[in-house]
Amino acid sequence: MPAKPPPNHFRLLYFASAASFARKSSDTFPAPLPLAELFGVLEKRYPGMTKAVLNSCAVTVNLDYVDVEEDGGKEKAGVVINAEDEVAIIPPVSSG
Amino acid sequence: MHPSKNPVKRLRAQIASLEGILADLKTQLTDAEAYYNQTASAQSNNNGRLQSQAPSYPPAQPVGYAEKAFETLVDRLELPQKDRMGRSWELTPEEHKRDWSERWAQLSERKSAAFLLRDSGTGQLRLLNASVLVVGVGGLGCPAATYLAGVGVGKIGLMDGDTVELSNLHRQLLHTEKWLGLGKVDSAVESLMDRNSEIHYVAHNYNLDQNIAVETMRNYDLILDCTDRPSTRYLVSDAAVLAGKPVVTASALCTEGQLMVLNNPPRSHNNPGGFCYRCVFPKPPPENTVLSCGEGGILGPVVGVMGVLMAMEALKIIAPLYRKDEYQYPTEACYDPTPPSLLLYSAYNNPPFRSVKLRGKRKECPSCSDTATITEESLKSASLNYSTFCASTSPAAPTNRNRISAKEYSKVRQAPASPHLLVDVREKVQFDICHLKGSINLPYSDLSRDPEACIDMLDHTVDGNPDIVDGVSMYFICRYGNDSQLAANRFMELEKVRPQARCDLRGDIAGGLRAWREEVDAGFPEY
Repeated sequence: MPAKPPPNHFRLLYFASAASFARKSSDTFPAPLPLAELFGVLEKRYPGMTKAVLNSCAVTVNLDYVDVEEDGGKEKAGVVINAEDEVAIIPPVSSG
Repeated sequence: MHPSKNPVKRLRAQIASLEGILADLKTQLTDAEAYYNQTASAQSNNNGRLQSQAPSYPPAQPVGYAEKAFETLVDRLELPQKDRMGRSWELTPEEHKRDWSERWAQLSERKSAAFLLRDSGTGQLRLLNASVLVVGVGGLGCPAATYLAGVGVGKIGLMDGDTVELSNLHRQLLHTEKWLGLGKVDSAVESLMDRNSEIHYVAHNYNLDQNIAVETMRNYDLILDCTDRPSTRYLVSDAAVLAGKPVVTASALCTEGQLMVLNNPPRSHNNPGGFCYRCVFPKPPPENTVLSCGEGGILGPVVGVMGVLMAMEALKIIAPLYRKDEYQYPTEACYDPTPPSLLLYSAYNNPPFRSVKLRGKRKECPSCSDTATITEESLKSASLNYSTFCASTSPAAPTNRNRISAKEYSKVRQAPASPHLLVDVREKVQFDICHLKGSINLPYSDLSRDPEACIDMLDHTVDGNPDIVDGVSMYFICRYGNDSQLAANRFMELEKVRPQARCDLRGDIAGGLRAWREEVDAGFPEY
């Protein structure tokens, strides 16, 4: 189990091609963070990641699927990622 | 000398052992003949002629638990007259009952579904009457089909157009060395027949074709998606929604796997059905980030775990442990009370398994919602093109015209005074396995992530080598010639930004190191 994130941070888990792109299996980011801003924050840390990985990924917050696009389209603020949440970036894996 | 090392002794021992078996078989045959003749003469005495519908088969054991239990079951569950295996639909009810009884007894003897038997045997009957289509007989399909055959699923369809390659064997457990170069489906059927010859295997020696996908799926109760690329994953899901069949889909790459159950319960006129693949992954991954197992590498046990899990999910759908009292066709009985979920397996993570709760159906899903746009006609007319769809998120096709063949490049290497840089854009781990002498490693992933640093690195190489001067010719190479092309394009874009780059890119080598081995140096390792 990865160590607990530092205070006021959340942990982000990378799977499959997200992990290859980031070259690690997890990161921590400052919380709170509106879900709609997540991809922007990631793009800043890993330029090119949105197009190469994130756009086709499933995203979960505490093991619940969330829809980043739908969330970004809402007028009012949608889901907010809080401290100690566990967020996961799950790209589709298709080989077998 | 050990007997096994002395051929004479070994053969003698083998013959002695086989003679023992033969003698035993002869005794069994004599007993069986005696039994058969006795019952046949008893029947002809009763009726004056042989009854065709009830020849008593010599039982392996006296009538026991299995047969009695079966009789009770038959009375309690209304067995379908129409057999899904397509071989006994014209039998009379009595014959039908007998046919079922025999097969059921055989399966009981195999202890194939010992656990499911606790469910008063209904689970086992459901398995007997079920049909499963395994799409893709590779790393996932092999273990999945093995367990389905072992447990006694009545009909198993196997679909794959590929042939067995040496690099498959470490994970595709049904295939063996003697089948190299031959069809995967034939290899799998032969191997499964050795395990359970009672099952009706259907060989589909081709890859899933969108023209006939829906029709083919209609002949089965359940689909296992064991394919290996995004386009077929969307096709399997779309076609199964249209055919009204649930899908167990799994995948694996490197050390990770994913598993979902789609379209469960299946969509029909009176049921909106479960979510589909598009509900979870509406956008396909960009093609250049998609690796096949051949390229990205896969650990056998990882894909094996996923295949075994698929078999279990299939059993849960075919023979659920609840609803004990009524017999239903599997497709009607597969209501799954567990909420939509995606199981992630990450072999080196802790914990290795995570189950993600999904949202279920997407309101505007083009495949499974009320406003679906994907129809059987659009599949058949190919107005829906899966390759195009999967390429939609990819960058524009490479326009790099500066490609040279491996042969041409070998001439560059042979020319007496032609200093040049050969940049190998494979990942370091592959570069370390083998590379062409004098080449330098600059992984494409680095180039796309931090191009500036890569150009600095190249400049540094030019500075550090007295034989290489500014403006030196440079070539890119990779394993198959895809990444080298992308790298070349990327580099040309950068040159516009940094015209002072000190290398002159002359192009990349078409076909990569594979072409080098095929056209120039057969001794170059294949990995």
